[in-house]
Amino acid sequence: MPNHRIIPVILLKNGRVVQSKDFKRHQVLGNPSSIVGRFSNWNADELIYLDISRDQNYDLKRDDLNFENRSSILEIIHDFSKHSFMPLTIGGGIKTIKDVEDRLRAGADKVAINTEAYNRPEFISDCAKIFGSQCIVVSIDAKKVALSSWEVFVDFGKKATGITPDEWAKQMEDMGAGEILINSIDRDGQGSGYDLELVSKVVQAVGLPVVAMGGAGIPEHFSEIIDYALPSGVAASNIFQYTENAVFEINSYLYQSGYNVRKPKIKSVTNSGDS
Amino acid sequence: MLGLVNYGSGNYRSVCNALDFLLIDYIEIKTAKDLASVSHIILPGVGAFNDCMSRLQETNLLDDLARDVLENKKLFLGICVGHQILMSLGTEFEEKEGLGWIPGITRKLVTKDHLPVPHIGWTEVHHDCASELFKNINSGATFYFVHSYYTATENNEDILATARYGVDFAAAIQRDNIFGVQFHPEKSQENGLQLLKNFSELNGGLD
Repeated sequence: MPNHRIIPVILLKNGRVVQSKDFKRHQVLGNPSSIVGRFSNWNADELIYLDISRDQNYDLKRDDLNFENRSSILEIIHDFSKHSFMPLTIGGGIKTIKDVEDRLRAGADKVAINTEAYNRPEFISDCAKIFGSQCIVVSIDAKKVALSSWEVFVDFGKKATGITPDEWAKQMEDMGAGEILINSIDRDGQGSGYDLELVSKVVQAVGLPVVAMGGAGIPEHFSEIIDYALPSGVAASNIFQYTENAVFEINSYLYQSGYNVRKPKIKSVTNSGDS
Repeated sequence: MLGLVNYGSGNYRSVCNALDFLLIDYIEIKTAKDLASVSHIILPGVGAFNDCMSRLQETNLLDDLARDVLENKKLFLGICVGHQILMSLGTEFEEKEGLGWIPGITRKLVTKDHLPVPHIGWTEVHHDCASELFKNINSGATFYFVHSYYTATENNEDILATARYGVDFAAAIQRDNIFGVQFHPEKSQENGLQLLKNFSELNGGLD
């Protein structure tokens, strides 16, 4: 049996780490470098960084912000990967081969592509050919539209596509995606648990690893989604921001309940030098 | 001195970061003359077998690299696809000849319980604790894997460590001075750093 990965997601908006609710309200939590520094001590299985800044031009004009949006992402990846030796996925606003290349060069291991995969599906196969499927994650935002029926939305959950998430995941697998990140728009920031049926549909549709996201509020939500849908990874954002040792707490809960997760550890590596 | 082959592989920077963190001295190997001063060579790799092999061929490094490893017995560590190309033959997309330094082929991961492929995640690596490469690393310690293919060596004695993902496969292989690991030590937190440190401290080669 494979290990289920527990994956904290950090949401960045205009250079700030935020908490998200309903894909609309974003509460600022703080400065990315201090928050990322905290995560690197947590021995998480992996980390996902999603930039949800809506208008890059807006940011570029703002001198009063401490973090210029575009460069801050590459800088954060760069800083992070110098001190933390765990897999890192970067998503948000990726539209060109150069965007992918910049992020991988800076130290990201995978990139998550969402809207551009819908606008130009061949972008996924181009990326897979150049960088390898293993680093191309397709991120899917889905909303429940009727009983047992979901639809893929793009452009930060604003634009309906008429495609079901399982159908879309399968198409993306055929284009060369290496992993699927399925996010429930309805559950975003609710803390009421994952959308079990949605995740299960996507897991059943593809032979790729699927990472579930959206809705975690308590450790039991992680075991619930693993029991129901068997995703390869379980990702969450807000829950990891509330308490200092949330990664350890959730990991310990799952490990002690007999789930196949990595043995919990609180401290990551320390420098072999004098620092 | 340790040398890290830079032929455009995506994880080159990550391996540098890990070596920097460990305060291990290394040089970048881009051309044959860079090989002269090194006793230990690391070949990183991500992506597909064919692409990795083609890129390496484009560097014009291969003849000198082969001489240094096979004749001068410099210590060599291949990572992920950098380890897969040690095989005689790659079978990803289409068949492609590998370095052939360790006899065998790459095989696609197919599990009877239909586990998702690529295999992505932290998986236990089992070894008999005899190898210096795994010094201070317990058998059963977890490492981070991302791969769809694995190395099927012709000889069982070339397998140094195994992992299980639906099927048992080689997580690390070794023949004489040549080592390969399927997982990413540069992304495997303390276990991975320990392995890189162990490799850098192996005796052999020039200095």
